[in-house]
Amino acid sequence: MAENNLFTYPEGWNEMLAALDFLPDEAREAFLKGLVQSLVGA
Amino acid sequence: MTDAEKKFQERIRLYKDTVRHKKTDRVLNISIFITWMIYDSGYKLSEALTDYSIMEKVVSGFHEKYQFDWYMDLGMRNPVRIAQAAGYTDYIFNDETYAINFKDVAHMEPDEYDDLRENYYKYMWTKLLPRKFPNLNKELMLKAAVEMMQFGQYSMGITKKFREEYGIPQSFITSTMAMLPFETLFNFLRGIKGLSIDIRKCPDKVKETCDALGLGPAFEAYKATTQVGTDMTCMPDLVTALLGHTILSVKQFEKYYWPYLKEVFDFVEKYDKILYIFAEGESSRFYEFFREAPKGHVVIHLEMDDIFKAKKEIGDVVCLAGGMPVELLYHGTVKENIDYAKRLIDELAADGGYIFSQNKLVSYPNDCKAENLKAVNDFVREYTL
Repeated sequence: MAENNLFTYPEGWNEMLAALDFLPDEAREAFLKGLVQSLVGA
Repeated sequence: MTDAEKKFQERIRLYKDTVRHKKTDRVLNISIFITWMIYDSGYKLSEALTDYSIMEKVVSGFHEKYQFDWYMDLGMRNPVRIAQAAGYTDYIFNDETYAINFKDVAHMEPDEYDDLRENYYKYMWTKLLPRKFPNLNKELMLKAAVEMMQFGQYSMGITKKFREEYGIPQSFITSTMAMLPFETLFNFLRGIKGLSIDIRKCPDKVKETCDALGLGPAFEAYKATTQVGTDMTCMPDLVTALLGHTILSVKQFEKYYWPYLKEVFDFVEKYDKILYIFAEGESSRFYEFFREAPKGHVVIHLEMDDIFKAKKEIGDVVCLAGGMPVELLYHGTVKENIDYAKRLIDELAADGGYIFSQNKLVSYPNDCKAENLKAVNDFVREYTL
């Protein structure tokens, strides 16, 4: 199990959104949801 | 207008007419070839799946050689680089058999339905991802994000190339997906064994979760913005894939599957759209439900069914796709293959409502011989109705 606080909600989720700073703010949520879905489906 | 644009428009018109059961001058030929394309190209599976420039050569070469009208996949079915960037190490590429193996583990526990239902992404983020990717951290997530963007660039690039150079509409895989909730549980969360047990041990939890999941975010976003009328820049407006139905009895299908499929049927009728269903496995016990499809709005691509029997039982309502046996494409002679292709078209396409294609995802070297495929596709392209 990953030993960090990244995988908490909403704190870690928001931290990850903030880290996606190469994307416009309004695009980050949809992008992260798509990435999570892609990883779940891998 | 370019030659490619003319072909593009002709294919879309032919597709819409076929689904509406109008008589057409030829049948469309759709590819459900996946990893066999890589085998046929001479590249290794491990090379093509991890290098987009090689995959582009594979799919472009495949089209130039066989010239299908539409593709389920243009090298996007297995975006392995995204998961690998996130630390996933369970893929095993077999360059001899062209098989991709990975551990079939259900990462969701049976007592977590309430958590999943309460907040899908919270559940994925806090429970499922750390369980599936034990070493995942911010750095690996960012690497996966970069890979996701590169995958998006490949998808957009190959889609654009196929339209502008070959006149091919966007693939099944990049079309808008109505994700049936039972399939989400079956494919991504509980697996065959887990879900088979759950529908017996906690049927209400499964049903409540299906209700909560609905048809997925892509469908909901599409539904919120679309206008009435089929889109004349793509083949189907919506796609979906059936696989989990193979573990269900008719009674179970009616409970866990049908209400959501019916919702899509009602939507495509109300909004005058076209739905393409890829039905894996054998589906004949569910034909009574398929007969409820609105006529002229639904294509069902059958995998292992007897398509001639299906034509008699549901072919007046839905447009059928498939039928060309991969066993024949590998073991048969050129003449046997052309004779069978002719029989499919003669018996199924006389009144429209039939799209020529294979009866199974074509994956492995002994699924098909190149000379048979070339002969069949040349025949189908030239044969007039």
